[in-house]
Amino acid sequence: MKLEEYFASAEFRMSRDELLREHAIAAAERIVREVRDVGLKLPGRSQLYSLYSIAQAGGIEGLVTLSSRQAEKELKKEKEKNSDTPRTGFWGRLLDLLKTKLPDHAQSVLTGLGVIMAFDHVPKNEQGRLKSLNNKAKSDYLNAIVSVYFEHFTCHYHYFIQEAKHAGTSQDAA
Amino acid sequence: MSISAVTERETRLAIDCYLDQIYEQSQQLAEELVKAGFSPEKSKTQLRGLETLVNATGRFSEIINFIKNQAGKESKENKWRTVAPRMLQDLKKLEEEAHTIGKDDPFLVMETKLRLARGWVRQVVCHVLYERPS
Repeated sequence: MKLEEYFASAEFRMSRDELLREHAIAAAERIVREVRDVGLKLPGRSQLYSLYSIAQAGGIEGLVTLSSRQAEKELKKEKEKNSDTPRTGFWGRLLDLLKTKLPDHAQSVLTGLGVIMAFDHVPKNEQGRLKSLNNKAKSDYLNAIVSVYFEHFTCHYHYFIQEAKHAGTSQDAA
Repeated sequence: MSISAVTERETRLAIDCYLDQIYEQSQQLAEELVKAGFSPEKSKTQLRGLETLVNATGRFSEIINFIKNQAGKESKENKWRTVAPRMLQDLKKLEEEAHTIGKDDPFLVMETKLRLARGWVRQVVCHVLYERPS
């Protein structure tokens, strides 16, 4: 299947509505738990809003840029306090989601659709071209899903934090 | 892709039957909303806002996200927070029913989800506007 055909299909609509929602919910809950477990603060509502608008305006690259910058600041602050074993905070974990977990998800979806092809059996001189086609497909897919993904992510993040806070289990939530 | 006439008739019937089945549950939810502070006098705009969103959206998860977003606000007296778990649970059931009706046709499942949600929100909002806090 061609990627454009997939984007126009009901399968894609359903995947954005269900599969991505599940992925984003799991990611939001995991990040909240991990940040709490290491004893760091979670960003508040206004900071999280920027994620959704940047996802809409700048796509996956925009989000990676924002998260890298924030993760750097976060790490610098953490090293000042805790230079031996700096803890990874929200932005560092979000960066990992953007640079590893989401591309892995894209890889698995696109391999299943036959859009991404393995290139180990392809002649060496063709491998570079195939690799860049695969990367382009991954990037197109991620840009097609990122704004809906972060709508799911941010809405669930706020809901999850407030739910836990009022169940008496949260002390942080800025 | 469109739904054939036969499938459309069957789907409409299945949706109507299911909405009839959940009518009492929707009334209970409406009563919970009233208890939580949603009254025709104070919350008509918010409820109509939810109804408009459900009728206008092309994506079922936008309804879920709207409710989570309202319930996720930090104000102390957030009445959405009280009713959100029940509303999300109802929406989950609608989604499951849509899969039963639409079987393995993603287009039909997506359309059915939205039609079920429109029926559900109409039941709930009408009953809240009819109810009076005791």
